[in-house]
Amino acid sequence: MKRSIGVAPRFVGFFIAISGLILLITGVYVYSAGMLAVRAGSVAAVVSAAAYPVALAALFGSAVFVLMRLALSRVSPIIGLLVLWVLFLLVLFFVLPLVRETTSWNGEEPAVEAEVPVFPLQTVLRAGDTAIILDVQTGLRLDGVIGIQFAAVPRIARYEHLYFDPDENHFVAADGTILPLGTARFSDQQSVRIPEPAAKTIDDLLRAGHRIVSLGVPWRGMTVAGYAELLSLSVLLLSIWTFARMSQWFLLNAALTLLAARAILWLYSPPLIEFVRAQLPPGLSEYAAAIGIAIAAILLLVIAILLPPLHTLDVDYES
Amino acid sequence: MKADGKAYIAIGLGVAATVLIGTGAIMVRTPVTQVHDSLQFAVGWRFWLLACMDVMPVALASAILIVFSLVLQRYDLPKATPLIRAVRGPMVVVVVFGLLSVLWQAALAPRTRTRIIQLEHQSSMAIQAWEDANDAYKRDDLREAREKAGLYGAITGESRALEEFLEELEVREVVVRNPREISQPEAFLGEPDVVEQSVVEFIELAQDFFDRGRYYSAHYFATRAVELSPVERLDARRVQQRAWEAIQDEGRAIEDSVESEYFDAKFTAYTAFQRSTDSPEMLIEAYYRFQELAEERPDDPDVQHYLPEIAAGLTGISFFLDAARSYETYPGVQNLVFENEAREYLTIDHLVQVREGDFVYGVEVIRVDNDGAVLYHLRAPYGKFIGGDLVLRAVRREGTGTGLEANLIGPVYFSGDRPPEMRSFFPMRHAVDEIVRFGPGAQWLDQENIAKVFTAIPLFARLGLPVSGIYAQLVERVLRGFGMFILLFASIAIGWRYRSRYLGRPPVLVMLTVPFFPLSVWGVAEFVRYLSRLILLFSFSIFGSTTGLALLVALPIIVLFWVLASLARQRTS
Repeated sequence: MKRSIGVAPRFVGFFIAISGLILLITGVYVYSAGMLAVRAGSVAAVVSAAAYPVALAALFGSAVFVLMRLALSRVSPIIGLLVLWVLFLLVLFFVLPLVRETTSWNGEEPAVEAEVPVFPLQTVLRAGDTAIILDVQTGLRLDGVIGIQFAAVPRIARYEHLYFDPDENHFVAADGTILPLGTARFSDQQSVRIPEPAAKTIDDLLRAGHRIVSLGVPWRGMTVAGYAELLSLSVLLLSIWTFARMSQWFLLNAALTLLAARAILWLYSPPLIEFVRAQLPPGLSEYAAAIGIAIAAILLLVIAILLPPLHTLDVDYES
Repeated sequence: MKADGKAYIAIGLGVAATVLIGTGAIMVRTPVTQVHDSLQFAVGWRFWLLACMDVMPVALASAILIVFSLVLQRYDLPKATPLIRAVRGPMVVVVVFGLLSVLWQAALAPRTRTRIIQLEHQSSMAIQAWEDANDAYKRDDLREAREKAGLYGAITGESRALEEFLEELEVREVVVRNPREISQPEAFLGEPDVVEQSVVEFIELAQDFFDRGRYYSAHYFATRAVELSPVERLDARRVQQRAWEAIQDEGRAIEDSVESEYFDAKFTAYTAFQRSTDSPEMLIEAYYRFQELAEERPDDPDVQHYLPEIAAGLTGISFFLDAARSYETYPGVQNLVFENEAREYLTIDHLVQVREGDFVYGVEVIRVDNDGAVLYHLRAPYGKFIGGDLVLRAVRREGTGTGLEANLIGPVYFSGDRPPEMRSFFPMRHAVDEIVRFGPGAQWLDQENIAKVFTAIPLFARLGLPVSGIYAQLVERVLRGFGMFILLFASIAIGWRYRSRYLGRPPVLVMLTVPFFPLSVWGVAEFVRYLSRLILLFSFSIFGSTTGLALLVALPIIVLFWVLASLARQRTS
């Protein structure tokens, strides 16, 4: 009983730690990559803008870690799971809306899209066969630039100003001259660029966040469908438990738990919700997401019930 | 089987997987196709080693993770004992692998990469030498052919093709050998090497030449004695004066117009040579003047003396165009950019280092002032590092006879200018080797051992290159090298903590998931490395190099202690 209730401080601890870590990394990333969004203006503003998706990520992360740990516990998990479910509800119905209200995320992607690399001044910056040396940077505009292209004659040219086009990854002079970088990146950018799989996870997380925000604020006239969707989402998070105790190999279970959390982010998407909506009678279409999520969650929990109880395994569970 | 045995199997499996995947990677990528056949193996096994060492951390960690979590059973281990004690032997092996990884990243991997570059360079030199040898053979330049074939043989060793070529060459040499001795320019009157002579000996030489009526040589050595002597030497001055008067008297005494003309030409050439100490341009002038004299009277002992000496002197302030052109296609480094003086930037298309010196091709220089205005911008087709200077003036070995300017290949100024004596000279703040190392960009850093990377921080700043490139390299080396300890110990701790509770063999379905674990380990390891890199690079850019380096050392140690503490908590049941 005591250990089951112990999941609460553990969850809160994980939630705070993961939030803090991701916020720190977000700030570091924004600073290191020089991706100061034009609209956000500063690291603090970008971190504020990222707080909501970070909290959502922390919810998923904490759920995974606490469930993985709970699976190693000798005690019956029923009470622990119930405590955890209450915590999920608290986060979904109160913490997330509160973060949403107090920070600046406006439902859009944070500043990552509007990349403005911050170039060091009076330093030879090289990407492939192109190099620049600049005196002043103002956003995307670079003043007093020496541009070097080994494919051009002469190799060196002086520009009053150049503009960096992050989408095309090249520099444009006032006379239309282009200094292409091709696929090359400046070494500063290369070392901090988000790896592709992580970038996709962030995309899915942002999409899920956007969906939850679109349901409205619970204490400001949220619809019944909204309440139902958040409720079913909390049960779906709980159903990750099934994977945490799927087999007697707990390393595999841990991997499956992580995969399940990632899969939920991927599946909680408009196309799938539309698919469920198409299968329902018109009167229930408003509840498509809630019903779809609830069915998946209940199915998973039923599987969990059918699995042999943990205490029947010949195990040496940790205390 | 006991726990130790299974743990050793894990390590063995990891090593086997390393070798298999490393070999597979090499077979898929085949990076050695451009190398000469004789060097294929030497380059190939080094590439293979690099590939294996890249794979090893993940392969070992995966094997350890799987064995400790799935294969190792509780009845393999003594009861209620700390896990570390139960598998002490394998732990030692893990430490050895960790140390190997640190050593590999710090010194062995850069050395291997450097050796590959050297071998590739040798390979292209061998290919070039072989082509040159065949070309020389076709145009009957048998000496050149033998020289190039010798170079080819020295790099690639003996081969059937080389033997056949040398046999053919020998036959050809017998056929075309000319018994007449090629007249060599007579060495300077059989005189001893005068370079090392003392002032007194110079004066004696000058007097000796004067007594023999060789007034130019007498004047030359007397002048050298005057220049070299730290104190005023009246005896040297006297010989110098007398020799000069004798030269002028000799000119006045000549009545034959042809002789008189020749004397004037020689006098002008010699005067130019005398003035070259103040103006290097005059040495080039003197060179072409003496060359004309040599054409007219090749046996004039003064001409025989001065022409080689001036040519040698010329290489101190310039270089011959044909020499520069002869190395233009040689392998070297391409596309260098660096800062020389403050706000003076150089680009070099191609840099070749040969025995004759360090030649550069396609040099461009720009300098701007503090307001950004261009002070000068120029381009030169050829250049050579001479002493501490980059000299951009090439001279034709054979003068065209159409004036000095026509014989010089120097820089073209697009805008601005420099003082006349500096138009073709750029004092270098950096040694050539430093420029070669980092001028092409930071990518060469991975060929330097970690100590050299560390010490390159001020050099990078002097070259105007972003120091962040060095920080990134240091971070990468530490994370990859020291990270092996963390990865392997964490694998043991996590593997044991999340171990299987199956009493017998796990179900087939579970077994089928095993091959996916290395992929997961790779993904997690890469992601953790990415986050660590992000935080460490951030600390460098915000707090500077001292704090950054302190954190670079402290952070992995803290994480290692945390992992070890976690491992120490694992007990057998």
